[in-house]
Amino acid sequence: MPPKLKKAGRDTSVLGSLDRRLKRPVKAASHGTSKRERPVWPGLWGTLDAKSGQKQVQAKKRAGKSRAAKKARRPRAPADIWKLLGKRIDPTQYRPKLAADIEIKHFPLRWGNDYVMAANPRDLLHYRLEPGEVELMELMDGTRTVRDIVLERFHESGDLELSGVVDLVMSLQAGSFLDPPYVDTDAALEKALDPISPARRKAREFLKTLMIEWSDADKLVRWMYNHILKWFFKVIPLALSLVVAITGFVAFYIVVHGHRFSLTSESAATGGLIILGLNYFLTFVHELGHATVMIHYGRRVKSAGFMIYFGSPAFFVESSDGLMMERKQRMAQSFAGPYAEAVIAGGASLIVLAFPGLFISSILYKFAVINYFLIFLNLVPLLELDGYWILSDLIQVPDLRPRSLQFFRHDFMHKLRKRERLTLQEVGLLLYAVLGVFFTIFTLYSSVFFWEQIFGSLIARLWHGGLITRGILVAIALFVGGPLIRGALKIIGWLVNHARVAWRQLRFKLETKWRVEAAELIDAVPLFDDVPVEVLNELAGRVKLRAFRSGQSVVRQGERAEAFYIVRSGVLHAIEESEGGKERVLRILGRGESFGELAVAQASRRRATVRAIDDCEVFEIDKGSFDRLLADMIKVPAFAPTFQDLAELRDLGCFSHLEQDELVDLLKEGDWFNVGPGELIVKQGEAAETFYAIHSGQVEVIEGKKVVGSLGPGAYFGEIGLLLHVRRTATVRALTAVRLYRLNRKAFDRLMRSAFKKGTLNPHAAVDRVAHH
Amino acid sequence: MDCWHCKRTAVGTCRFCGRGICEDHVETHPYILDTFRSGDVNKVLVVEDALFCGACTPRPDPVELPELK
Repeated sequence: MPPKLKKAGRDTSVLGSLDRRLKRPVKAASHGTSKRERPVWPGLWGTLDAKSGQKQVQAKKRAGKSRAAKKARRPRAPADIWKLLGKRIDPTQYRPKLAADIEIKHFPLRWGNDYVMAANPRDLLHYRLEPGEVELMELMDGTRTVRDIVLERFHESGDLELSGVVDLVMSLQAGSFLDPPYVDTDAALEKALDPISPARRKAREFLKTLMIEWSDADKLVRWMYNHILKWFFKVIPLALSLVVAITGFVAFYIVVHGHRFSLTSESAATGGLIILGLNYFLTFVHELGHATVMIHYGRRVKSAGFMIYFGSPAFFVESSDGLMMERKQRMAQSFAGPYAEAVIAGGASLIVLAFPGLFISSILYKFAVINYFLIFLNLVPLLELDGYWILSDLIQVPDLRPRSLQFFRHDFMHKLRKRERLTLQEVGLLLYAVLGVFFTIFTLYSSVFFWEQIFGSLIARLWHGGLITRGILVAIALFVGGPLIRGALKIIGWLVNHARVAWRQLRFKLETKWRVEAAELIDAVPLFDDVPVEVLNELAGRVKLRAFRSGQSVVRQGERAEAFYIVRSGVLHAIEESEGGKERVLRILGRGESFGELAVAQASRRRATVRAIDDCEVFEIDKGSFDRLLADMIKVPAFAPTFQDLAELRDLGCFSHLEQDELVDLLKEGDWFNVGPGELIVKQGEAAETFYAIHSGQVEVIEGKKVVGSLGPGAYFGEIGLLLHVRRTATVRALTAVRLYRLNRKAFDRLMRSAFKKGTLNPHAAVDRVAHH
Repeated sequence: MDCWHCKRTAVGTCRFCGRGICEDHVETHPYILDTFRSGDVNKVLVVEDALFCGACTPRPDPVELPELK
């Protein structure tokens, strides 16, 4: 326990100070006490109740003045502060209200794969959503509770989307899309408890991520746009830049064919350093091109910075706000980077062609080569760079690369095994995936070759320049190659894991004989119901074979039960030890007999010691496997719902998509019941508190005296009462014997609360919805 | 007192909810002892590593309760 902090001998805890404040005599609580009597401390709870009641009475008094004092003032019952608090923190009662400044934009696509972007402009956070999720967001206007939204959705779609709604509300809350904005005191505390200067924090972050982020980049880019760059969006400057880009490329072609310059001709180390500097400038211009287009179209730059990307130093612009732009604007934004580079490279090439004898021409030539190489890499749509984004926007498939890789890894192999024909679209995805993989390998190879050509001489000079320069080179290599080293470590980890799995499979094959024997013995244990084959298979994989020598104890009396056992061979005694040290043999155990299962199931201590009488072997099944696979088959009190229970519930259409744990909760909260033919299940006009789903049988729905319909297996009724808080609108009567599952309003709310508890209020949960360019 | 998670003997209690916790299941969480206001700045006295059971949910987002003003 942490030591209790004392301040001048007083309790300084929050509750302590609250207690002190509340221990002052409370007027509302001191009615009836004489002047001599000391006011009695009504307790924390009582005081809180009195305070809230007092506040309500005061509010009433104020209101009463305006309404005149016609009516006698009746003492008001104090509000139950705990009930109020309970309501405030009840997630089902939470009324999500979308903040007024949230921007939502629909993006209809040619192939029907429409999507919606939602932006929180305060934090520049963007979520990519399905159209169905946006329909839910439209319901979040502060008038409906989460429960109302789930029910309303359920009424429309027939699916009880507990986790879907809850996840969306939590993600939106964590991303401050809701009003009031989410305040994370935990994060604020964590930051405050780590008191380092911003510069040190950035340095630490850089060493960890090899990235320095600057969140004020928008101001700089906006200033540059307003003063200079906006002119490039006018016709004449744009045309001039186009002329420079095109004529420059022609000039470059002429220079290359002139064979006057070569990549390796200049070996001066200073030349290499100048090119390195120009390369930084180049990437800066490239990213500035992207950022400028965003500003031009009214969006904002979230941040910009410097990073080491696959070993190369690079600038970046966090342009997720660009995802809110129209398709053509996004394409222009993607193209702007390579275009800015093309203009710079064109200018350099024109200088080289015009003044080949200039001392800097050789360096400018190399610079132009790097430029065109990077433009080529950026525009090839097989890498996830600008060309890819242009293509995906052009063909309106925003997830082209992940989709094609997904198809290649999973569906294609499956189709190949089944010898199924591929559709035209699948052929396209396959082609893209294969070309993408080959081109990535080619790029890595050509990059190494290219950079070696450009910087080879610099590296050689540093290597041969003595101990200090060699040290500098190693340091640079480690620094620049950090991500590659990390990647290599990941690959090694992956290989080790696969080797471990392969070894486990091999060992499993060698152990097949006794594992099968173990499964057969488990199946034969009379305490269990018939164990399904799939469970036996899994148990066979998890069981351990343990050997004990004569006189050795397998379990000891009083120990906590962590496993249960089945005897494979040998004889064991189950012995009860009395306090005086006397022993009494309770049972003699032989092959096929089990022990310890009840203690495991009931999480109790061992009631006896089991000792080997001669050398023996036992199969051991640990508590985790037991709980998961066997607990619900034991023929003693039910410890968990059976698979059959869950399957039966899943058969009901409205619950079919629920996850296993949600079904388990549903089983706990609702119940099954049967009615005979002719029995009334719901009576028109009575209070509605229960929802019903039909498993088997037929019911008829009667409005007044008229039969308006009948319902059968899979159908449900009673939701209108829950949804609209009205009395039953119709009578429902069983036509045949009917088996139903019912869920009352309270159970429904409990289920919702548990769905909230399972979720984690973590902004990173929505990371996949945040797009970075 | 036993551990909330594994029913072994507890070695401490959660600072937030009072559940018992053993050494295997103990977690830590910052705990605000007291809050102060200095000028425009809120300050807090914190135990950085108060015992936390991991089962309860201390809410980081303050709850509005205007009735308690």
